[in-house]
Amino acid sequence: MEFKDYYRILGVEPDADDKVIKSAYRKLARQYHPDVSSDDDAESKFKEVSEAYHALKDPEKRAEYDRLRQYQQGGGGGGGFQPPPGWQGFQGGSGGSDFQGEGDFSDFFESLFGGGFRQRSSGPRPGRDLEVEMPLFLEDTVADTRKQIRVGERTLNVTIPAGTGDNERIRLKGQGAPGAGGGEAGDLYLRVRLVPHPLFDVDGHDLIVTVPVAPWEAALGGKVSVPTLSGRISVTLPANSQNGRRLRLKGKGLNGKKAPGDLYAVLKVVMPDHNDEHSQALWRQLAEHSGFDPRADWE
Amino acid sequence: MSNRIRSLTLGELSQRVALPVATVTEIVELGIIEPQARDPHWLFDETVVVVVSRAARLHRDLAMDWNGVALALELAEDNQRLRRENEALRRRLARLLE
Repeated sequence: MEFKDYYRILGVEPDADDKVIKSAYRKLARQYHPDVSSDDDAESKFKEVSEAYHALKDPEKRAEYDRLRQYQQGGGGGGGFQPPPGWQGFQGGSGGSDFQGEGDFSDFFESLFGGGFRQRSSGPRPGRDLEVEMPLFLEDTVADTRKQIRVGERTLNVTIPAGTGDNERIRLKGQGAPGAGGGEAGDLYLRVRLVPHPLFDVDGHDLIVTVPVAPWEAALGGKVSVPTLSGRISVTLPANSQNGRRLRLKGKGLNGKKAPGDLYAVLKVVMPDHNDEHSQALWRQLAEHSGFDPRADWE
Repeated sequence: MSNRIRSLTLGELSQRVALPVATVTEIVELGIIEPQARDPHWLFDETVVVVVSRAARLHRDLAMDWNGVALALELAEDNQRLRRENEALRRRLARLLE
């Protein structure tokens, strides 16, 4: 078992008073609270910080912890932490009533303070509702899709309804945290995160695809084959199209609860990498013939 | 296995999140969640349960009042939306410039 230095975790001196400890905890709790933090390790850091605070805010617990800490520093614990012989764990009865964690503090904490003080009330208590993010490919939103997801140790089969959008929640009844004392299990909510696609960008229910076109295609117009989520379609490119022109392909976006979104094909005029002599001659001919000045506005 | 989302009354919601009705009422009045129907009485989309639970954790863990919780949730949601929007715009920009 690893010895936990609760003072170091909170970034305070071992002789810090209650006020300093409380204020250090408040600051770190705000920083790492999993409901607001974007830190990848927010949840484990928050747990560590609240565990440290729960151990140090109660004078009796803190005294016990300090005693053990001194023993550890005296080399009694060797490499890993071993409680001293005859250690009975914390027996005090106070401080239990305000325990607010979910009972998942470290083994170290449990061995120190035991698990008994956590029993707040008897009778059934429902399990917590959980929310996890579920990455979803754009292709999987076209029709109802069955997916397997792993949540902790479990593998769940889920049907994602067609048209499910970014940020939407899907509820799995009874798949959240287990209840206590015969209480019902909580529910699991999957929060959909659409995975960035190599070709399509998403704007609400609309899709955007960038279509590279040659300068002469932009000038002369013609047919261009454009990818959609359900295969390629032929699109008419109007003559004399500007770079960045958006062509709307109605109903070819993401499925929605009401109407499907649209697909916007955005033209991007691309120059060839190399021009041979003949091509150069043709461009020169065009330059001599055309009176076009793209910087006329600057005059 | 996915289930249809159903509606909850105020009483059912407060029972689900283990908070007094008065507290859930305050959470609604602060705009942390919105009822999907108000007439003849409040009805909530079941997915608000996770939002209320998140609000309750912030209230408890950070000793914030409900006003502060409302503000924190709003800012966190805005922040996440803006970050995702920024990522999406950067991807679009890269396609045009590459």
